Amino acid sequence: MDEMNCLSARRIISTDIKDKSPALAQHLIECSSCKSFYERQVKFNHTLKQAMEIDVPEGLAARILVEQKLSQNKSKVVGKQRWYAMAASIMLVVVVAFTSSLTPQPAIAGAIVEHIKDEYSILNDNQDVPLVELNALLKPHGVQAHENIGRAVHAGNCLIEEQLGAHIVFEGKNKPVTMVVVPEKISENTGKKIDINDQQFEGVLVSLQRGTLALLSEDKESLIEFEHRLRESLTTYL
Amino acid sequence: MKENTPSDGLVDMNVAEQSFESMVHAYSKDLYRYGYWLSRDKEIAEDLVQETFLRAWRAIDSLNDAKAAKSWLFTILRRENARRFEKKSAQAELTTLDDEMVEVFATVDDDFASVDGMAVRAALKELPVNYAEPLVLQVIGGYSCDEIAEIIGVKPGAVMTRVFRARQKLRTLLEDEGQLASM
Repeated sequence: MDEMNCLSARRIISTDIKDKSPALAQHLIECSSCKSFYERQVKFNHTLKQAMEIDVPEGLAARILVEQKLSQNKSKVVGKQRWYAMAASIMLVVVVAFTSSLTPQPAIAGAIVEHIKDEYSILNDNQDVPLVELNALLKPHGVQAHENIGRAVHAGNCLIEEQLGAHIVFEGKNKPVTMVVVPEKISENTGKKIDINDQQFEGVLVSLQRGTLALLSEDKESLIEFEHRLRESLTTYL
Repeated sequence: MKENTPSDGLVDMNVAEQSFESMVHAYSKDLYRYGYWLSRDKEIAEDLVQETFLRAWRAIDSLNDAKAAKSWLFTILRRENARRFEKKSAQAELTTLDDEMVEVFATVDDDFASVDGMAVRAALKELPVNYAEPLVLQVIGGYSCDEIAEIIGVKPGAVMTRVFRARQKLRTLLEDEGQLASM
């Protein structure tokens, strides 16, 4: 190994402090002056890093993903058109057996309920969300909706326990019904249903092939009517 | 329950989306910070990151090596930032470091322990962008001088000079502010 002199060592330390060459390492063992300089630059680097790491805007990653999905929606892709040609046979996934389960409520249920309560005001939204926008939100979760799912009055992405999910509010019989879809799976058994226990909301979690779907409403009749609406659809999913 | 087997196109799309989402979560923060130190503006930085990822999504098929994703994204952002300016002025490049400057720089015994973080940020904002940029790539991106040279399109020697000048200038600015107490 060629020996390194102080000038070469200091040049490297001044410009590329993460250099891991054996020659530099050996020189720092042998030269206390250069070692001292190296240690000062390490401290300075640490200070620089802290200064450079400014706060990142809240929700940046989620906004980037939403923009990407919306940009997908805008593009006229032949593959997408072919997919829509299959739309007659592609419906929202439906639970086969709507029987109550005695399984304890998973933590994600509580997180979803809290999220809906935090975003309570959107239950009063009155948009007319186009089906194509609904499906853009649902597609990453492996589900797609048919027209007879009903009127969506709000649709958007949400972050629940650091997971990017879809949050949709439908017009219900008496009160709105909220659908949330998240990537976390509550069970490997697709179609497994778990009731959500909450004083304010009636609800159910359904395991999907690629995540979990939650349905909630403050009115039990509205929830049951919406579930029937889904059950009457074909049970095909991507 | 009836299942449809996804067509190959949809499976590929799902894999691409998952890769893209992973990249967003892994790199969006560092890219934002890089964009900020290039533009010195938070709104522009966010626009740069948004545009970077949109371009990356459109060209995702061209990314063959996942390990190269970070450098690829940094390069895209750099080009997005360059588009904001109508002219690129050629700058005379010093490609060699002066030995005497290195020796002088190395012998001053600074105490960085007491430097105020806000003062460092203020000093960073005063650095010319062509000095700040390689320093940011080195400190936040963790890149070597050779890697930085590839990203910004200059020779490695030029990167070393710019990084050195950045550190030298920062020290001067902090000394002028009374932030550095030489021991």
